[in-house]
Amino acid sequence: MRFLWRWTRRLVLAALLVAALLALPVLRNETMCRGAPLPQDHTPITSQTRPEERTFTTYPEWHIVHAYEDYARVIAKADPHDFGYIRAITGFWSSLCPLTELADQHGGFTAQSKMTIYTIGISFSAEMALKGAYEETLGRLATGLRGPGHSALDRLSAEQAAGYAAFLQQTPWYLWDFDRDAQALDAAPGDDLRDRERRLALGLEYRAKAAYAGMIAGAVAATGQDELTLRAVVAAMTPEALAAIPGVKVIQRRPEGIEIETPRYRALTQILQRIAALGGRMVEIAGNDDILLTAIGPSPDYPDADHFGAVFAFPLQGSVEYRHLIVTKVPELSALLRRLTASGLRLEHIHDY
Amino acid sequence: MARLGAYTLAVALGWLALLAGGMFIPGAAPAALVLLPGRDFLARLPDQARLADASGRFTVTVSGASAGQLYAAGAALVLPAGLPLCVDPRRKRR
Repeated sequence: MRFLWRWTRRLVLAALLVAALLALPVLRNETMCRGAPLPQDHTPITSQTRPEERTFTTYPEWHIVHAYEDYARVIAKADPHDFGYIRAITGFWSSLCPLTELADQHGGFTAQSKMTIYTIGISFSAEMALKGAYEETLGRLATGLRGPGHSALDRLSAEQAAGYAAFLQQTPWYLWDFDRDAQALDAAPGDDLRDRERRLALGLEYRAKAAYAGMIAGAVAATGQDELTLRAVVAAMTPEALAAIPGVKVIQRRPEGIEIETPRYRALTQILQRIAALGGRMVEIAGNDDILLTAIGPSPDYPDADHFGAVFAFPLQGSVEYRHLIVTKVPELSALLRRLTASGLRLEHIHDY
Repeated sequence: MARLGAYTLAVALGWLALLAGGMFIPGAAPAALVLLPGRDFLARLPDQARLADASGRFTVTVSGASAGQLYAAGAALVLPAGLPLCVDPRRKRR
């Protein structure tokens, strides 16, 4: 009985220590990352607007998507212990600091936005801490005993990671079929030590995620909904040219330009790229005049010296390239997109509101 | 191996403790995911509470009630639900 009590007490103390460690970046963000509200000089043209701060607060969720892309890239060529788990965690919280300052300047975080970001940040950090601890110890030992080449289940798990990373581009994580992945590991040929270790470790991970995803999916289906489209105003293009872009619906002609309705998320990035390529100029998007985008390039230094919107840059894992977070005025967005390629960067995503 | 197991358990418990603690911040989440609700949980909910989902075997989703009220009604654990950004963009708006 005393043995049980001693271990329970140790476990509670350890859990409290972990909770304190996980809460530290939240405390840092709350105390050291503050921005003063800027006077808003843009009067929305359209009546259907969205909060400007959301362009900054949607990035952290994408940071996690990008981390899974990095992970898939790393394990395609190397082993899971070669992925930088701590780097992935620190990247999330480091990028959040300047984004919090920007969000404060442009309308401020809502309590729910903050709760969302802290919830996903803490959950991501806990997952990386668990995965990192396993892969750096028992996982590393199993690869040492395996030898230099990948085993059958190493290759299968790399394919699963790549599929999951691609899936997250369009779909929330909790809709991924983790049970199917676990069954695929069970059914796959391969019976050496590393294969059995992957089957056990990843099988446990996938089944735990499947159980949690099931709970989340039910709760989200019952509560969460958001608009799928937004309004924007475009100048220097005809209504006919805009209507020819797939997904764009022309609403009306205004003195400032043509009001359009477009899908949000990934499709918006492609539409804004198309408008830029056709010589158009965005006047406002969802009633806002500031927007965040990410671009990938070969250097940590932002190459476009004429533009001052570089917020943050960090290296990708499993690649020699860097991700740049860039803030620009909406009326300058199209010109910036046209300049990106010449600057040696390629557009990754435009974060809508 | 035992140490790795203990570490795993500690991280999982610490993570749950933080998420559950966050639910005591007023207005932190539009809804709550209640794990292991008691037998008469629904009957003990406050009048303004709304049952959003009861399709899970061991969970229900409730809006319009604080974490304290949900624990008082018999919830074993209350976690945030329905947070913005976590929605499925492909789902049609109802």
